[in-house]
Amino acid sequence: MENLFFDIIYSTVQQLIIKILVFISLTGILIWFIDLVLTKLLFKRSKQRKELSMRLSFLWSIFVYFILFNIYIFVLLHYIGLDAFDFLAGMFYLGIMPQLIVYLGLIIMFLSKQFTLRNIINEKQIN
Amino acid sequence: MATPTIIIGIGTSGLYTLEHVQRFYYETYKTNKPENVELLYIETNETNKPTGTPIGNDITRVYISLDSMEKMIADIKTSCNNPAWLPDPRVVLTAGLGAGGIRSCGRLALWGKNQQGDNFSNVINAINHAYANVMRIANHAVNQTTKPTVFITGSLTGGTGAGILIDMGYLIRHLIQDIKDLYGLFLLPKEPTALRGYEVMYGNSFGAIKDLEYYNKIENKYKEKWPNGFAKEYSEPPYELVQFISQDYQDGNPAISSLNGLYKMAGLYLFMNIAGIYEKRRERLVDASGNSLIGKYGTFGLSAIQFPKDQIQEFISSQSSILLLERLTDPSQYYLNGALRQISRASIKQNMAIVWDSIIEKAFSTLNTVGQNDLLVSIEKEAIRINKQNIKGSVVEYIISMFTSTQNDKYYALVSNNIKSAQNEFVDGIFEQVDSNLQNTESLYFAKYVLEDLIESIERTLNYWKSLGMSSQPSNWDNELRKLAIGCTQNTYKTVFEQDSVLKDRLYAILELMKIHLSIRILIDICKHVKDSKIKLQGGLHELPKLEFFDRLIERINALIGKNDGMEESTISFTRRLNDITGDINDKTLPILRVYPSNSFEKECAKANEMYNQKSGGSVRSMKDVIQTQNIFEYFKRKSAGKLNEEIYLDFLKAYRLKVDALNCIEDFNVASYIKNHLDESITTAKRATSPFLKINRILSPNPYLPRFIVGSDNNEIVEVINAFQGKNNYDFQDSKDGKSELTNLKNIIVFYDEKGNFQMTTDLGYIQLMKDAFENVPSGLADENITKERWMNNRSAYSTQ
Repeated sequence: MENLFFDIIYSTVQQLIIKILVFISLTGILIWFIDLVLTKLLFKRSKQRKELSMRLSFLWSIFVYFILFNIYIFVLLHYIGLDAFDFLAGMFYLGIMPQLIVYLGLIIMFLSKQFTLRNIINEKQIN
Repeated sequence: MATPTIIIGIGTSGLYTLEHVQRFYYETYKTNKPENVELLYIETNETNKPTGTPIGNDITRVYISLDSMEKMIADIKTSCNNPAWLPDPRVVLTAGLGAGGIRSCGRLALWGKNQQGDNFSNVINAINHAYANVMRIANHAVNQTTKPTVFITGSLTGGTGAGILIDMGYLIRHLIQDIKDLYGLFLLPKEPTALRGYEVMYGNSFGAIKDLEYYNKIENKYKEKWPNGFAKEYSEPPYELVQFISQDYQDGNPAISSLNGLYKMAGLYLFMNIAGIYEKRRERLVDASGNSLIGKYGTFGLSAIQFPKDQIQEFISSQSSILLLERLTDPSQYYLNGALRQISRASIKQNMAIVWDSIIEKAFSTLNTVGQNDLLVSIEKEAIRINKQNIKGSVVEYIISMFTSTQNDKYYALVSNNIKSAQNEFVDGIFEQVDSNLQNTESLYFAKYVLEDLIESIERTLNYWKSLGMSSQPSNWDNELRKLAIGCTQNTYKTVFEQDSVLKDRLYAILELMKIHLSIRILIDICKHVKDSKIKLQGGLHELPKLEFFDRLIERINALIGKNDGMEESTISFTRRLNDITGDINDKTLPILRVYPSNSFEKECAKANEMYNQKSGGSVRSMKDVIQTQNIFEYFKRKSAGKLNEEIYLDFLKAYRLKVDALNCIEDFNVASYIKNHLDESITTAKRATSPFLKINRILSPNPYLPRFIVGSDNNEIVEVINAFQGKNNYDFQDSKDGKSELTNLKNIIVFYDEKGNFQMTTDLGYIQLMKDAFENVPSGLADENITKERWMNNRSAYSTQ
């Protein structure tokens, strides 16, 4: 388990796929959990539409998770040391691919959800 | 005990004279008339109505209508033995605008009845009522019966006065059988420089004098069958004494330049009679009559020295009224808490957008409850049911069935049936905004801009709703509803266990959209009502104001302050009144010398204005001065339903006059002391009274049997004036019991009075021959070919006299 999260050395494709799936699943679960908590805590007295509150909560969830993920990246750096980060080696990128996918995925998801919410707010519609 | 007296004005001149009587009395005693006096006015012109003093009006009006003349003539023919004087039935007069200068039409108006009422009975009832009133007061006061006196006044130039003067005399004798005296005071036209264009006036006057002369002769009888069934026969003259006055002096020189001046002098004379000189005059007249020294005709000369306190009061009250009306109609500035501010249209727009949001929110929230049923609670339960699948059919169809216009027992029907309460909220909300802003700023433009900007916000809202695809058409709503229902089933947030609250929220949104759909028609109607004035919308408490109301009100108020003088309503205007007062004050031909402590009317007005500002706490005029705590909008709305200009004019003038009076802004002035210091001009004024207001070709020497005296508030002051005059070798007025008349409350004026009689109108009036020519000959160049000499003379005649 420790190797799954704190080892960035590429071994096999099969292991890489498993690692990516684990990262994505964990990300999904954590975001869901954070979202579940935040929907119960945020915007309780807000007069805005529930639809908007829910979408806003979700954005907050991504943001919170993004912070947690950055903490993880910091710990990872500390754990394996900066020397292990050979940005010129192709194998390095294969090893760090799960983290990269999650990292970029979070940013894309955040921007995409924010774009949708902005459209909903700006669009001439009430529902 | 003062004699019970009835003064009856006939025709328009009669009204104007009575208004002056009432006004003089108010100026002196602060009431319109004494209790033992009744003022009655009989008129054929529907539009003429008495103008009151600051405390109102006490002239009783009797309108004798000439509508349906043909029917009136036919009725009289059958019920009154077909009298010969009846006018030609082919004469057509504009209903309500008087007797058209035709004497027989004036008489017909008194006798006739039509759908407007029975004129003869109405006049009898009014006289009987006035008689009962004055006698009740008299009997109550002295506990014994006192005989009443009646004055009839009017001019002989028109159809009404010249038509009914004989009938009125005999009618009074019939109704008041214990009458003490019946006097006539009639106004004649001045000596003409040219008759052209005035033939009707002089012809009518001659006809009336001729008829009066006829009935004054004892051998001629008045014999008529009146419409009330009485066949009356009188051999006595209709009047004890008839006095005539005109704008001329005895030598033909102009005595009074304007007709209004003549009404004023007639009013002053009648006022002094009811104020107290009547008894003094009567003592002399009884003796004169017994010695045949006066005859049946009389006239008088009158002059006065006056500090015009009332005119000053009215002048500054009119100025204050103008200031207030200017404040109301200022398009760029308004007062708030005493400070002058600019009207900022941008700021009003911004505020009204916020206000409109709150109005719409409040209006929509009223639709959430129908009777005891809270729709929001009910929808919440529906959302839970839907999520628990406790429904028949699909979720989409179920949601559609909840809100569709085709279901008459679901939410659409409930809200639709309750939409009037939202309308009430819209209308009342808009009204309250306009009303509160008008109340705070007292600016009609500010209130109008508030209304305009609220309507602009409504239109913006409607455009936004339109851009959302909303419309007032039920079919469009049903189409929109389907999309919304489908949207409810997507992305339900079940994963975070929020499906109930999300669905509830979505159903609420559908409800709000349904409210929008149902409100669109109302809001369009509101805009139309406010802008186009074609639709009338009533709220729960108020009617929606209209922009046209403000525009019209501003226009009419501007007419009142003389800003758009071309308007029909501008017949009454404060500016015109200011000019009239100034004209009256500066009228040197009126035999009234105006005197002032500061020697200037303008200075007195400025002083009074300054005093008013000091005592009332500033120079800013407020509607509170006029209507106290009443609502400004309601006040103007009420006035708009009636004769707005007239009513506002009277209300404003009355309010400011009362305030000026209550604050004692104008001090009384001792006129006697002025006379003693300005003897030459005072003697010149007093001398004017010794020439009567009528051009008579007979020397009317002073006669000790006829009344000649000075009227003032204090006998000692009168004596001082007489002594001062005699010190300057003027002996026109004597220091004797008959030479003085003390009227204690007659402040600020000293009146010189000289009565004349013992002449014949048909021989001694200086221009009687010209009048006769006007009576007998058809004026040349008349376009109406139907006017023959006979028809012309018939129009100038109303009685069967030779």
